[in-house]
Amino acid sequence: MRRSLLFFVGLFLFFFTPYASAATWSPAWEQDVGPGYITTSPVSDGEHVYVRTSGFWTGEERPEVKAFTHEGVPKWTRVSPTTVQHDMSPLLLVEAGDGACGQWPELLLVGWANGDFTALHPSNGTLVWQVNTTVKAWGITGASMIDADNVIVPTRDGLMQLCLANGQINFEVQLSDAWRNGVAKQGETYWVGSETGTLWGVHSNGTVTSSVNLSGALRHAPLVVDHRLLLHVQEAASSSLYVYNTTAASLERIAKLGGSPAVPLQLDQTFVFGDSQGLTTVRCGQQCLIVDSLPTWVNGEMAIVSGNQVFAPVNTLEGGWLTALLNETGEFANSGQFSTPYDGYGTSAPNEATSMLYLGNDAGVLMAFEREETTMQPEIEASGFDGAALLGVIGISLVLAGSAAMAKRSRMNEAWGLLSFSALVVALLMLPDVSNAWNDLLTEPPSNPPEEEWDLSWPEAWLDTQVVVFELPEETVTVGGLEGHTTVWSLTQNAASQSDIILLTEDTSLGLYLLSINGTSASGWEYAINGERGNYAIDVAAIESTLVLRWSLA
Amino acid sequence: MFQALGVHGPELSPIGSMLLDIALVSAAFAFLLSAPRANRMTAAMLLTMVLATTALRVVMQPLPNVQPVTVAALLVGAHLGAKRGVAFAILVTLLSNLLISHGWWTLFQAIGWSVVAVMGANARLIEEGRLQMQRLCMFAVISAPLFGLISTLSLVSSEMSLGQFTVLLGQGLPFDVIHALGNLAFAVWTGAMLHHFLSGLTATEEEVLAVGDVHGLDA
Repeated sequence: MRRSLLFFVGLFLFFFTPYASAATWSPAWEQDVGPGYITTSPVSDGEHVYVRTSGFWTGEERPEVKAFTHEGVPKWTRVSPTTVQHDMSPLLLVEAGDGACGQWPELLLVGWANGDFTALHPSNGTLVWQVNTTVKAWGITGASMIDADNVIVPTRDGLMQLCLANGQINFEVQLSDAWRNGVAKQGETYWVGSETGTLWGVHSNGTVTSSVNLSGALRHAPLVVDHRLLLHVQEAASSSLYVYNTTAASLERIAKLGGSPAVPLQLDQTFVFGDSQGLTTVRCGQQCLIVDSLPTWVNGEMAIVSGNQVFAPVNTLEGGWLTALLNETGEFANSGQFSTPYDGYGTSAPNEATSMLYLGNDAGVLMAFEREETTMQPEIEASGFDGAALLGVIGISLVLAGSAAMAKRSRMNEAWGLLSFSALVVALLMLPDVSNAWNDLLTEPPSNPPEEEWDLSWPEAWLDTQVVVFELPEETVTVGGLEGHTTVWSLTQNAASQSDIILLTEDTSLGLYLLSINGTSASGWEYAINGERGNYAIDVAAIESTLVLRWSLA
Repeated sequence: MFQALGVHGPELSPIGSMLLDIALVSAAFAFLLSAPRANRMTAAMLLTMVLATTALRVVMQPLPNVQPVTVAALLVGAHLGAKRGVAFAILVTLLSNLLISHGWWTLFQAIGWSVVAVMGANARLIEEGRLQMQRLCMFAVISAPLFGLISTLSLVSSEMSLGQFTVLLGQGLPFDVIHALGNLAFAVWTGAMLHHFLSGLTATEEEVLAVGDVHGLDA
């Protein structure tokens, strides 16, 4: 009995513990940038990290933007002597480029609560250009957006489009008073919310095209889902989640949530909303539906770290950052707490840059963490040495030695037990690679040309592109003209998002498995590339730049 | 292959699915009734064995093709005879698939494990009350490709050629190896415990038989 128990415990510990652990971070350095809060995410270009403080306005202290090297060495500081309100407009790093107004170098764009919008040289903090905007108690507090060679700035009471090259004002429109709002672009329309409960639509030429009455203030950039917008609206003591159909001009409330909404987040087809009750995920197909929720208290920004881990600052006295993995179906998994020595109230998202994670909160301390596994990586690569393989060899040697020792003492059952368990573990670890290699041997790679599957009714513009066909039970949906996808999964996702199709997947040890398309799972979905059945997991299966991918029920 | 692994054959209508369930449950009870009469203790213990194996299969589902049912079916067949072994295999397959994924393939998996149970009943795994561990390990390994072959039959369709079926079987080979290694580990780690547990069942039944309720040996 004890033997059997040991066997099962061993098997479970070996296989389920690694899935439960996420990337680990070790403290690298910290810089006290106070007095003042860090209310918005630091930004980094890999070499430097930039952070802004909001003010306490004690004595002569004023809000600042500071730059540090990625090793924590201070580079420059820019103070705003006239700011007397909270500075919370997110910093924006822009790469050098050129456009209709001319060329621009690398820029760090900063909106200030005193109404100034400044473009700084990230290398030394000096001014490139500056524009003044309306101030009514405060000026800019919202999130700007880059649109080609322009920056779109939500001002205190409107919207402004500026040339990146010189700050020239292309247009400025007055809308209604706003705070911590943000702007999003859909087609040729900019959408921006306000404190007065209005969602404004402004054409890219500066013409106000629409205004939509909401049940409260909108304090984030709308999330664009094809022809719809997702809006998390702040009400008196709660909030509402709306879907606004910009084509039909219809507003639909899909959920009543907690107060003080956070700035929402998007990961692929999943949208994450936060408030004083917790986090909520939404996925949109023909309808937008709530998928999962997680109790916590998040009112600020959130970020995705390590590919699929939500990092959300918990805005309570105990604070810290809530972490949770977001799976392919929009559900949370492995939620936990990321704690620092300065846990407390916070609204600022972390920033992940290469192997570093930068964090700040109301304590006003910029903290840098380094990913633990990457500290070993360069050494391994430099010596051409595979650490995992070495560990494997050591492990197998120990098992064989242990089995031999047991056999020598005539403990044959124990020897076989250890050997069989280890063989099973090794085989399970090797299965994905072995299975794929075996498939390569057994089957020919798809060799049919796309013409085999080409439908003459398709537009010519789709020639030499990637085309996806979903053979749904009720209709066949075809999406073409797609480019640049390298895996079946990436292409399928893109096609699904363009045609309001909901995909449900399961992440397995062998790769990603597509469970259902638009709620239909039946006896399983198969894919064919140019008419030939696919042999690999969808996130592993590589594809050509020109093909017809067909999804059909088995 | 991997995306096709979840594909098990034609989709059953609700009525088709219900008829399959009824057929499987009926078959299980028919095998139980046709087996020598069991006392309440034996029946309760067999039910416990069915539920425990079902739970274990569901819990171990994330490990690809590690199947605790196979070794259990071999030993149940060896101890309680082919008929109860088949009933055990059908009930475990049906119950666990209702929790994991139920459909046309359930029939083939039930047949696969029933064949394993019959094999266990005829493999002389118990001699003079002692478990023949080497023989159990050998049959545990052999059972894996046999079960793989039978359950893959659920994918056969009218359009499939023999060559395509052979490729399909070949693609499943790494998974059969995992099944075999898992069976071996289960046999070594849990064989003795299951043997002890099932010996208790057999002994209990023998006590009843000894007082005159003789029905002869189950085939």
